[in-house]
Amino acid sequence: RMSVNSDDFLSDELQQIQLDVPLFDNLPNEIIKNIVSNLDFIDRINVKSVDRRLNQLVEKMEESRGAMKTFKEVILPNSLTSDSFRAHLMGKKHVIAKAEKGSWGTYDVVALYQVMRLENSLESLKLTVSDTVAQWVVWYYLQSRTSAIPTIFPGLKEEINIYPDPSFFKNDTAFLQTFISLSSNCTLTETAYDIIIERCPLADISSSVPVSTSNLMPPKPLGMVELRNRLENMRWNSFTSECALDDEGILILGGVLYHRLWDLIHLIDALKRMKIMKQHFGELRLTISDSSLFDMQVFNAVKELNARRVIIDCPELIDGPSLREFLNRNLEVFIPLSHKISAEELIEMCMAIRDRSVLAQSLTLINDNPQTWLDLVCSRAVFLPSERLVGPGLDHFDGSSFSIINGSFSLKVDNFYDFESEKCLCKVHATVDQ
Amino acid sequence: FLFPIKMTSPRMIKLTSNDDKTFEVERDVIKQSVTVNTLITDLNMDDEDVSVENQMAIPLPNVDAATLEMVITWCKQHREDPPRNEEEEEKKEKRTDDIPEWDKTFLDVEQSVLFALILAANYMDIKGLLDNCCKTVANMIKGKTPDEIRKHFNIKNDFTPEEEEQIRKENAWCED
Repeated sequence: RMSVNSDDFLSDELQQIQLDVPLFDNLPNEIIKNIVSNLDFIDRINVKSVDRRLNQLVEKMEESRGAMKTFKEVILPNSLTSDSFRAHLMGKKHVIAKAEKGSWGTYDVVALYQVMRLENSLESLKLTVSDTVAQWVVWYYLQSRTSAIPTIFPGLKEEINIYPDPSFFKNDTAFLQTFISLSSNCTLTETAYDIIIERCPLADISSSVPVSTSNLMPPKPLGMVELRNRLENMRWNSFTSECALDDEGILILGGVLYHRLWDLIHLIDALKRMKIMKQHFGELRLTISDSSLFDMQVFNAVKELNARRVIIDCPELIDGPSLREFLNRNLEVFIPLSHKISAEELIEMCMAIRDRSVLAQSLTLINDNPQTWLDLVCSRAVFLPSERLVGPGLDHFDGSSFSIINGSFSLKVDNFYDFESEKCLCKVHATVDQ
Repeated sequence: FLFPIKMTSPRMIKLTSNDDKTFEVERDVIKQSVTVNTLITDLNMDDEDVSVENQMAIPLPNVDAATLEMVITWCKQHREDPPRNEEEEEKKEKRTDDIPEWDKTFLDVEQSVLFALILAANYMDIKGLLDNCCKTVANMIKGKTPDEIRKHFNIKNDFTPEEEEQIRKENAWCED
């Protein structure tokens, strides 16, 4: 004899009824706003895409918050000149610039630069390019120069977002051929390379397009490998919680986890949350492999984090001016040297820090090869701006130093500024184990 | 000499749900509801001379008995909480991982119950309960795609295909 539990039956039925009732629809706007205010950027975008009501509510919230602005969309005409750019951008603070198909070219970008220089009121710009080769090159052209934005666009108070429409990365031989011919003067960033490989899996572009050799490097065992592996596979919000579990006070993000711009925005957001949760964390090592990420977002973000020690790990791409930028912002630069960096390149970098404004900072260089350091020490001019060694007891000490650490070799260079002679002086402590 | 000690029982307030069930709740507990608190003050119900039997019950036409019972349980649990400083709450960065354990368990209920609680907390103006309910819903949303959110909350997609395509395009740049 079979018995039926009527409660269970009713419960199932009630549950079915409950599911049929759109509970969210009954919530007042203010409550939905309260719910949405607890969500991060990505989740808010997802909520916006659920239905019209949520879309409008989140849009309004973003408008009033000012953090994520709704940009005025400007469709730029086919024939772009400085004047037409100016006419379209004038008086608008936030702009999404969408080019009509086929309209972008190098000339247009130059025109954009010219207008942007003049149009100081523009606070942010989102530039969407569509589906032609020329547009892709424009995007690349702009992307590769984002580090220069603060000087090129003096009025820009917020970050510039330049991003390609993924739809134009097609497995299209003609596209690739044209692209390759157009980009012959460019060296692809890892990001661009990855995107092309991803979108065009059958294409053999590695032989015909100059690609930064770093793409071909095997992963380096830097940082917390386990964390890195987890980071590579996780969504950023779970990344937040995973990192929050790390109580060691030292957080190293890096290795070969190349942060693209978007990853970086997530990362920054996540780190801000971590800061709230943990109040502080000890060390942040951020590996940035793409020079286009050397922009204000990175600088501002790491500044906000107030970590005890922030290390920007930029193995291949740092050059003198970038190095100075980092050092001027009180960021410690960690340069793990590999065979990719020659002693000459290193010397060039070191020359860049001879500037007095930089000497008050600290630079740590780590190299596996003692010979490189010996070469550098022998070329004393690199480290000794005044060509002089001085002993202890110098009156004017500004506390700055260089230190070089190696298993068998260490070198510490303290820099001084002698006010009488108006020269930078150095004190060198060198230890060689063998 | 022995002085008689006056044992004062806690002051009670009567609340009536929209399905005509009356609850007696300590004044100190229900003070967390700004709506009820304002009514009590405006109606001079704090007058000690009025016994609870003769006291007028405060009607809560937007709250059913089951939900009101839950609200009272929550208020009892949080009666010792320090008063909220709304200005400071506004300044705080929003987080959803700070829901107290008790509340997490308490709010681990059917969606319909949770949403009824949200509406009740909103109507009765109990900020702490409302915030924790909203955080709970936010946690349900986190990590879900638009389609998963729709399914989870039974929300109808009312975008036209063109609108949907437009949204997809707008958001394509942030897709991994």
